[in-house]
Amino acid sequence: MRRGECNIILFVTAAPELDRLSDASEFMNIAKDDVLAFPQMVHRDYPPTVTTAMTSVVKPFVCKSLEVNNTVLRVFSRRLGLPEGSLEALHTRDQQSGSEARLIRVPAMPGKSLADRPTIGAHSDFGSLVSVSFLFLFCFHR
Amino acid sequence: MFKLGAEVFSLPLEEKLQYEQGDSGRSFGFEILLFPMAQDLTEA
Repeated sequence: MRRGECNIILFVTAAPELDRLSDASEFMNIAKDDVLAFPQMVHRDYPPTVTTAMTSVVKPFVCKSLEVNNTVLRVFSRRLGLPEGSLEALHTRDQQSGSEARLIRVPAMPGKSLADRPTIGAHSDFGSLVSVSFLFLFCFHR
Repeated sequence: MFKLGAEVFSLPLEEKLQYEQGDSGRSFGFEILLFPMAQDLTEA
């Protein structure tokens, strides 16, 4: 576990029959620190498409996700018999961290048995918590 | 947020690569993997 990291992941995938792109998987990872400090930059810059939506879309999403993460951490603290607030104290907003909101585009894979589901190969995640949301975009890239 | 994802990935690759995450050790920014990551678990 790396200190103070919780990651939020969104999968965006394309329907197999409509996908016209290559087999590339794409990721756009937006640092929690950059979101909370916007318009100040903590780690790096992002495409205008992202910065334009930072206040109205990304920040509300990240803040709500942090509420969920803190709830889960609070439950873990209690159920593990740790002192109250001990896990939350490792994930405070004023500490720089590697937490990020991660947008993922996974290519469709016609002919594969998992072609109708967003999926990604076996891998190790980092940080304390990872929450994942899925969306199939059947008109994506048409 | 999903709409933002669709908009971001619809950008020209050249534009997205301007924000490539690099080799700093952090994963912030854009990354593209040019090989299939998904595995057909039924073939495992």
